[in-house]
Amino acid sequence: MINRIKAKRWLLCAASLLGVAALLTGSAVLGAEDEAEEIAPLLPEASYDYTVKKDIEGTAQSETLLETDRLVCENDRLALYVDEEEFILKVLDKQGDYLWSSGAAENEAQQMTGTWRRFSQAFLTMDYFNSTGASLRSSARYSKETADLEYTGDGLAATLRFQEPDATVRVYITLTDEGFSVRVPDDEIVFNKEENKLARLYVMPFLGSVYADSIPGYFFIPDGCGALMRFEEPNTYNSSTLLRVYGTDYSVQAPTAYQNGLAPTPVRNLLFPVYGAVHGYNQNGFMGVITGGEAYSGFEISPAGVKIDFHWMSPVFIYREQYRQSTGSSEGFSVVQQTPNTVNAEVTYTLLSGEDASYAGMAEAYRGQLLEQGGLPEKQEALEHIPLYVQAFMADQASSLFGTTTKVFTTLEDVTDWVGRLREEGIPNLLVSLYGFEKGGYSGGDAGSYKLERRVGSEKELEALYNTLNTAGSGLLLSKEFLRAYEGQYKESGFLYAINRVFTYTPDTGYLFDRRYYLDAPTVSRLVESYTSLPSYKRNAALPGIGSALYSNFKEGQEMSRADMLEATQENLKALREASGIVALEAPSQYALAYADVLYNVDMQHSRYIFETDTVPFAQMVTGGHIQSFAPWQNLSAGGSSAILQMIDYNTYPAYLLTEAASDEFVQCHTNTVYSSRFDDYLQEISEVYKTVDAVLSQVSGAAVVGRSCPEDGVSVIRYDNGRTILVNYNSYEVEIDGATVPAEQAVCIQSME
Amino acid sequence: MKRRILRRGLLTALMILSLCPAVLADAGSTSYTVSPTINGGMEISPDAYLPVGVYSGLGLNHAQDLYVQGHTLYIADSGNQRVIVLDTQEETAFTVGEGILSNPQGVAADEEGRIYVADTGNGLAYRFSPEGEVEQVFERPTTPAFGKNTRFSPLKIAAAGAGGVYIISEDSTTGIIHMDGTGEFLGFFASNDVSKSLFEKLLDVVLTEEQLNQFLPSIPPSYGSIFTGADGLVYTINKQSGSTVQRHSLNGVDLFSGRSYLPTFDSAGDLFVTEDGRMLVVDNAGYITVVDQDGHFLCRFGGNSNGTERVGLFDLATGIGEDEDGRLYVLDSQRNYIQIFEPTDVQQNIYTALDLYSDGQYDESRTILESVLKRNSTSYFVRLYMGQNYMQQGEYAQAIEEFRIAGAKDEYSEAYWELRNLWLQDNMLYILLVLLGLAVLAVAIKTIRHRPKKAAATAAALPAGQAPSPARKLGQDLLLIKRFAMHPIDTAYEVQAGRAGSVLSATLVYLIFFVLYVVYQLASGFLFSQKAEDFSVLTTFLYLTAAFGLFILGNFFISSIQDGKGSLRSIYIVTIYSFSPAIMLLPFLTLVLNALTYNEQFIQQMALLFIIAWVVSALMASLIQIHDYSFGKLIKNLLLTAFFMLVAILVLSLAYLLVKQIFTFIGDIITEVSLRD
Repeated sequence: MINRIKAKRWLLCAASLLGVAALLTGSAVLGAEDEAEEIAPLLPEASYDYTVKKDIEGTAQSETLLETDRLVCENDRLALYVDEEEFILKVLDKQGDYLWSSGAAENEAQQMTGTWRRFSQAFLTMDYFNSTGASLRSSARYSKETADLEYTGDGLAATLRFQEPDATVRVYITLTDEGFSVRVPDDEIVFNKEENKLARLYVMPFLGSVYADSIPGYFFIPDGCGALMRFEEPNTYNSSTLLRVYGTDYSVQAPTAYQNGLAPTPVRNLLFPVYGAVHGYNQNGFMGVITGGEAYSGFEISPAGVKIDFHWMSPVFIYREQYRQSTGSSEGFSVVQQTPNTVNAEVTYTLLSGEDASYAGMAEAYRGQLLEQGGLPEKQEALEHIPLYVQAFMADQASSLFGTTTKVFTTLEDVTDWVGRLREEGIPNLLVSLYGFEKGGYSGGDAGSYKLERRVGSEKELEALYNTLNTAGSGLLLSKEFLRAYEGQYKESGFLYAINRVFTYTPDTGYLFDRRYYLDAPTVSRLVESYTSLPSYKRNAALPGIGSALYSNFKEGQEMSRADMLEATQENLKALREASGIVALEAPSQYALAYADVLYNVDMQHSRYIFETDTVPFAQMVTGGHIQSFAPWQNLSAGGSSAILQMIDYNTYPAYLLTEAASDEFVQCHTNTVYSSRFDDYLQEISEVYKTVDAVLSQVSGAAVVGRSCPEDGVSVIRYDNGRTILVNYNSYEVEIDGATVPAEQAVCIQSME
Repeated sequence: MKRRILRRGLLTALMILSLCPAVLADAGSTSYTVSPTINGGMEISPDAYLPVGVYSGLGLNHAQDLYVQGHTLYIADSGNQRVIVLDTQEETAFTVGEGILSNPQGVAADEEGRIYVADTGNGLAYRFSPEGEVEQVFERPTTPAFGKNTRFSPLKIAAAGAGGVYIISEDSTTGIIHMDGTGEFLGFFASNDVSKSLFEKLLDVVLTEEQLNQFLPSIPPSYGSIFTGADGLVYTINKQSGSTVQRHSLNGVDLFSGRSYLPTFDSAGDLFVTEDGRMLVVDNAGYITVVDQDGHFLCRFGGNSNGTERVGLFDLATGIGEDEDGRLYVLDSQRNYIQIFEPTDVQQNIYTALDLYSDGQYDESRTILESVLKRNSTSYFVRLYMGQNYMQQGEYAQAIEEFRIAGAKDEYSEAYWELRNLWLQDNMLYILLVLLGLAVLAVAIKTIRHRPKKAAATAAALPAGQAPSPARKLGQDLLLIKRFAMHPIDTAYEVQAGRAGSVLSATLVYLIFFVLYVVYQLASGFLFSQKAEDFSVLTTFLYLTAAFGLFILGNFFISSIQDGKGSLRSIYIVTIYSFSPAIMLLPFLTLVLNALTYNEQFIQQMALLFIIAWVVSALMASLIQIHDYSFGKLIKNLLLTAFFMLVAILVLSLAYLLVKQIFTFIGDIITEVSLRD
């Protein structure tokens, strides 16, 4: 009996165990199927071409103030609080009732390790070089006693300590009408141990940061024309990315040489020292403008998945760089920059709320700020028809039997003929720029020489062409390099020197020369002076290079820092502006905008980093209405209907680089990357593209953008300040927006509702 | 200033391209596309493919292979021990082989959707049903035909039809393993060739068998990737540098062997062959190359990310495939995602045009090529195929023009031959008449000339005892050219005696020879001459001067030692005059070559041989005369002269290197001192 009971018990146990096992296996199997479904892939992110993505939806939940937060100062628009225990700055946007914090969201921050947690909470973090030249990171520590807090009427000042390098930095926070500014003066950065040297400073790296996709919104990155990084689930990335404002300084960091294989296309420059964050589309946002130390600043962008699951973007200031000093043909050693850059870092934040809380709002706010400071020219007159930009490639150096010779592909007579034919096609406004017109062609002509190449034409023909084009909306420009030169175009005593005692250069793809050099500021000034004495028909200038390349000079006795070079460039541009009729700049950075009437070769995309989820026309929105923008040469781009739609969407006009001869006739020339340029081949296409773009954009000529939204995938709606709205439909099907029908792959312009 | 002369046959991947092109072409992409251009180089061309997206949410872990069929992607997710099947249209995915697979490194599929996996971890290969159930396990064959010590470690796999497989085994030297649908071993297929270096060949001769086995086991390199094309042929590519795509016939012969224009790859990551027979190769660094059906390099794009997070660039690319719509999928095993590229209109047009040409639709192919030409006027391919289209349609004159622009000499030769044939046929009658007329004229001239000769001779004779005027002497010395060619010995004697020839006229003749030589190099018709832009007059001049100079000096020194009687002056004069046959005949040769094709290349070779032989004999004869040597002594003299020239060159180059090194050394010291300051 007992045995049977025991046996029964055992049976029961076994049965229950089996049952549990069955259940577990069953759920495991089902779970496995769930897993199989989990790997359903994310849709391919089609944001690299011209397709626009629907605006983000969802409401952002604000953080709340803690008891430890103390009010510093306030006005009608906002209030500044500081957490006195940790020194975390909190900004309350009164309009949207949204609280921004300079520290990461508390809950999620707990999951991070010590160094990262400190980085996410600290107000300032620095990278410094120690005695061995290694770069280390240290986040500021705050203690109320040693902070020397000073509450001024409109702000706060505090001294933050950095324990590892034994340094102190004093920071000033001041309230402004629309936001606040943060300032770190150079002379109040003190390193108690001499062997430690400041490399970089991060200011409030976690302001605007978001944990994974917990808040709908994005960071705005001023990469190329503009990019957005939406807050999405973490992904795998190698590292965060640091982008320099106004591009890399090739006098300090030599360009990478690609020995085995092709080089990638150039990374776009950051054209504006601006970034921003939006938490909740059309709900809350802020824009940060670097107002002190722009020449030495950058942004570090870290999407979720690089070590931690937070998206953060931080202004970075660079005080010292490490570069390679070569001592022989192949040896070299790493050197830390001895004298630090004069930075005097300052970031000014502007709060945006409601309809302004988007990149379009940022563009408008930034435009307003630039206008106030004189960084943008006045609004232009509206034209009845948009202009077409034609760059005529006249002559260049080619290799020949006896060295090199000048080959001419287009003459002035040809260009005059083109102008006639284009006007016949119904293109009334033409901006024609002559490229390679000088004696010796583009790569052989002397820097500063405006003497015509004999076979290109005569001075008389040039004057006649100028007069033909000298009407409102048209013009004849001469394209001339004032900053860049190939070997032989100017004497070497005028070249910029890099920090490692060689000439500053950028590698070149051309056939004859493999390096391009840069002229120093005094040389550029001299060239500008001789320019002012040219006859008036030669003084409409198309200036490549000078508005975007910003490199310091390390020539002994003529050293010039990047900031000084920026000022010198602005002065040279000012002189050019005053001496010229029309000034056209090639894809310039913000500091050159005030001196331009026309921008050409404007970026229509960003550098295509994988975390950049959207392309937005921030640059065009800032300059639209004040400066005319022209797209990159359509005959050298992929083209297609989406390219035309994108030009309409971004308010950018078409441009072509043309020659009379077919490009197979100049394969032996230095500029052999022009693979397609014959005028006769393109006349038909130019006419069609121009008419399509003109039909829409002529109605918003001279108007500035006040808003841009994407109500659906592939549809963008752009509102202008003259009461008109442009609807662009990239899809292959018709769409209806606010009562207006837009056919497939077309754009329409309508009167706004208001 | 530098020049590059690239030979099309040796397409290397060594290029230094820039970060800032001279004319800012908006690539719309993160890498430049390069393709062969008409100047024989590889230049930037319109983008072939643009990156349009990324599959990043697949949870991959060091996936090693990718196969695409229709709209389905098969991914060997090695780190997660499974294969993922992804339908890009339905946007669904499921896994295959979980719990079974250990380290799947190769994946393929057949038309029915059956999935083949090479599992290196288990040492097995599998065939799964389209739903993911195991149908067949391929184990190491036990038949003696397989070999006792042969490894079976499946690395890559391809479908062989009817459920069978081609397997590449790790480190296998015996070739591709062919097994049928039931797992039975059918044989080895297409083993790789061993290429031995010269040194190794020498050792082959010298060492014994045993020693050889110890020293250098000559094991053929193993394959890197395998693919069964739509034509049923097996394509493979190896991993080491310099490997090319191989297309194997059914009995294992490489149909691509011997084609020197095949592009080479360093560390190929994966291979895919499209339905139309085009080959796509991605190498580990991330460069994607498109090769046409005949093995010609079409274009290359992509690249290494170098640590940046940009789209369209790779850390380590291990898989590539093309779907039905022409989209490219490229797998990055390090960053664990798949990048998607779409062809641009220009590229699609090129493909369509090539397909139309293979189908024999020449007119349509040409129309499309013309539109492509507008967007890329410098493309070698477009010109080549335009020419081919014209050829096929019998329009030889136009074909020639296209080939000339493209620089395609072989095809030009063919077209020219056709054209010349036609011309000859049309004009044969006239040619014969002209030849007849010339013959009659020649005879007439000869008979007329005989009579006034005596009178001319007396008129030309000078009053005795008067030295001829310098101009007259010059003229006479130039006429020496003809005499020297016919009677070298007598004329050499006169030169030695001072009665004929002068340094000035000899110098002039040197210049004449130089000019004729340059003309020969440049004006012998498109097929036989070099391009003017690539030819350096200065360099040629320097080389010729050095050659002649060293010979003359050397000969003088050696012959002084060997009791030669010739003076420096005589040697100088005699050397160039022995080139008289060349001076007389080169112009004719240049003219004739303009009318020849590669079929008649032997004429050129024979003519050159004839001229060289004549020159050499004239030189030898005249040297014998002026030095008063016997034949044997002359040979000795010439050998010693050659030796002298070699030594001179060696000494001069060493001296140059030494001086250069000294300067570099001093320069380095100065730099270092000034910096360490």
